[in-house]
Amino acid sequence: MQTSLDEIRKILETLNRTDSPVSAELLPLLYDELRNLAAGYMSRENAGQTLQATALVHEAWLRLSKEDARMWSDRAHFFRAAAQAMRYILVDRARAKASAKRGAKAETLDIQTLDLAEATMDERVLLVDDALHRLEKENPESARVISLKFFGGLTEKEIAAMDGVDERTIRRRWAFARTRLFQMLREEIKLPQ
Amino acid sequence: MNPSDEELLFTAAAAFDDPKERGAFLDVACRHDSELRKRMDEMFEIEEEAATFFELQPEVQPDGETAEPSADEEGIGGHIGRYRLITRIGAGGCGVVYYAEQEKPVRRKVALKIVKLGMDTEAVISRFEQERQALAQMDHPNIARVLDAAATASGRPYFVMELVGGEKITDFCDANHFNIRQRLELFVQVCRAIQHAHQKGLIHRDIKPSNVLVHWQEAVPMPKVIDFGIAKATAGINGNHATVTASGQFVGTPAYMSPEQAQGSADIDTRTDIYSLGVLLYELLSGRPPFDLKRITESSTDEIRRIIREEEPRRPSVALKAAAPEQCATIAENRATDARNVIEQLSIDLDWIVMKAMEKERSRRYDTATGLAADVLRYLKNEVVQARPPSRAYRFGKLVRRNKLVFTAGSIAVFALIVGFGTSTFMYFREKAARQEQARLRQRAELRSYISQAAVKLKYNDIAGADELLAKVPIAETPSSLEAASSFAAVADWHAHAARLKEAAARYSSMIRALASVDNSDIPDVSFNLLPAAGGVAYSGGAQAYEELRQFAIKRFGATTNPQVAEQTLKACLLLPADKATLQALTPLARIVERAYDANNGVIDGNPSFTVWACFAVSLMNYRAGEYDEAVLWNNRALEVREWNPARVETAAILRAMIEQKQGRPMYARAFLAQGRAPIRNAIATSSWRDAGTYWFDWINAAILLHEAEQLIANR
Repeated sequence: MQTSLDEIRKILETLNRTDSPVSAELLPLLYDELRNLAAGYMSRENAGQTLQATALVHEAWLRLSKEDARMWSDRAHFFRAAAQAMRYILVDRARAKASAKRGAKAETLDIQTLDLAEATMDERVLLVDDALHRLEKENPESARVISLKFFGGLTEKEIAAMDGVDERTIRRRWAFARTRLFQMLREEIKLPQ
Repeated sequence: MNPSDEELLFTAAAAFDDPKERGAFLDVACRHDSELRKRMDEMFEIEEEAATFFELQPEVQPDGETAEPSADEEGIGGHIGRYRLITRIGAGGCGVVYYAEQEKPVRRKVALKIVKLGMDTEAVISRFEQERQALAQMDHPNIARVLDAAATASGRPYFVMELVGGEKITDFCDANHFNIRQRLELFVQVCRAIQHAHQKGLIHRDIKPSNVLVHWQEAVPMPKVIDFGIAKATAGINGNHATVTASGQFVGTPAYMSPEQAQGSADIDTRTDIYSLGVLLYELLSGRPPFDLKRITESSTDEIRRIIREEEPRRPSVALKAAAPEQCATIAENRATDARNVIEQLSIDLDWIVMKAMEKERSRRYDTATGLAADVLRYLKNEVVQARPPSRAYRFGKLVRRNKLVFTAGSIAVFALIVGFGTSTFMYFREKAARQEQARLRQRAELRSYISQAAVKLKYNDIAGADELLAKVPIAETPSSLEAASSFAAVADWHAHAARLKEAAARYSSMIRALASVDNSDIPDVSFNLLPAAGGVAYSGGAQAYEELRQFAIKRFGATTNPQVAEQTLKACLLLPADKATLQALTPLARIVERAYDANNGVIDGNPSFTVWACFAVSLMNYRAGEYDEAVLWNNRALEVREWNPARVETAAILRAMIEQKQGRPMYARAFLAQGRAPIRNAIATSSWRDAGTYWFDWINAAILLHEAEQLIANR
């Protein structure tokens, strides 16, 4: 843990200077950290209960920043990376559960037979993940807000503080983004087989 | 299209709360791109669904929400939402009630009621949401406020209420040995609280002793009605069985339930509460509810329904007389007196007050909770009460109804009966006339209650809901009040803007009637309402209705001296050809307008748009009266004024076409017709008459005259 902490710091420092998007190098580290946390949470919780993304991300943040908060001045990078990592964890978990239920082969959801309103949390995770890939191409800003809110569990206030904009701006973005993504899902369901 | 533009457009459109305005905005913004418009419409349609789809992700909860209490372990100290459970207060048929503490945003003690499993959480919450605003409006010292409703983590709905101490009203009265008078005084307070809620458009639907808690407040007994809004929210999903859950269980307490509610009727109004108040009073007085609780709990759902619907309970005094002596003694002791005295007190008038409130047929009950309270107060002041023992004729009628078969079986039996009731036949008819009068009064009270409920709905912008109520009021019976007039005007306008002219016309006609006697001032603001009403009625083809409206307008405004009122009345009354008597009645109005014109050098009230309409009105009057030269003169005056409202210009041109035709100049007639026709047709076809800025009915009125002109000119 100690070594990875140092590594993360280094990477984030570089990120701060270069202003590049979150590097792929950082992700696995956060991913491990979050997964450890998630494992702890899940053992405490009943099966079927959703991961509390926010709690995990915040706890990871606290652990990683405990020693020297100064180095972690760029929360934005951290949260973006953490949201991404949470997305991987949640999607993995949902896939694993889905295939356990339907047999080893079933790795994908049969979207055409799905009722969006009735979808379970795990199904929603997979659906959003899938549509998010497409939304990223169409409107990266919207995709980012969804990733932070839905997977990262951040509040509108936190995202607004991170982006340095008004909370209302984020609320509007979120309203558009989720509606657009939901529209994409609906369109897909309506496609003929 | 650039996606970020789409986002901008969505965000901008979302700023309009009113779908109508949003639609208008999108109309303009997407005028070159119907594809985009379609996408936008779809997005707004699915917006809420999308929000719910994402909402499953739990919100930030630093210390996590503890699981809700299970049946065996009480969950004390745990959290539900932002409430911390402290102790369990009680459990009822509907669920468990906890004493809890709200922590954010203010710290306060509350009562939290978790509804029992098996209820459709979403439906419960959404029904509650429908009433939330009305509940928030309730502010009465004798009503406990309902603060919140939501669902626990595992999806059970819960309600949060103001914490109310005290005992249920019947226990409180017994424990304190309240005599009959004290009980009645307490009951009157409860009635007033219920009346307050009824005025806000809320029905309790589950009034019973355990929902009326009483505590001492500085040596004064203080009743509080709890659970408002909850019975409705937790009622079964489909209207048919509104009081029974999917599993066939009654939601409320059947012993206190009105027959219409027990039956599962969707048509429940405030009088269901009057019934339950009657049952409550019954128990307060006689010490027991009218129907045996044990029998009710042991019966099947259908049997319970039958009992409540058909069985006539014994009067309170009779029930008390029939009770076992020792029981009777206890009941009397709780009322600080002896048995004989209680029975005596009840059998004077109180029996009948209770029985009137509990009538099976709701139209025979007290109209309002205040009415019930007033009768109780009359009793307390030794005045004559409204409630009466049923007359012999009434009882005879009931007997006949109950034994229809027997009574129609043999004419001999019928004959014998009539002879037997010889004297009461005469009484029967007198009674019948009185009852009809009473029924009429009741109906009027009912219509008035629709109006006040509609006004409440309008206050919350529920126009469709208000319209549904107002539509039940027959035009000819519209009660006259300013409240009624403005409510009818609001829904009429709403219909007009949605191009439902027939409905608009009907509501406007009602509105005009509502104005009949309340506001006798001859100001243009009042007569102005004639124009949309007349236009709507004439356009949607009600010749008979138009004639009625016209005569009504003449009666109401025919004696005015205000030129603007005169002008508006003329126009409204002359949209269709008129008979001689009508024209005669309108002639003085035309004179008033003419004089105003002459006295002010051709500009009336310094207002060109009014001037042009005034000249038009006089021209129309002369045309209808066959004074074509005069008609031309005034028509020229109308056409001379150039101003922005095209509807006025085109309407004058159409009138001119008709005058020319009558004057034998068909060429001119066609020319004027052609000038006016295209813009009017266009306005109607494109619905641009609905645009803000011009009065929608200006175009409608133009179209009515155009229709007449086309008939006239084609015929020659």
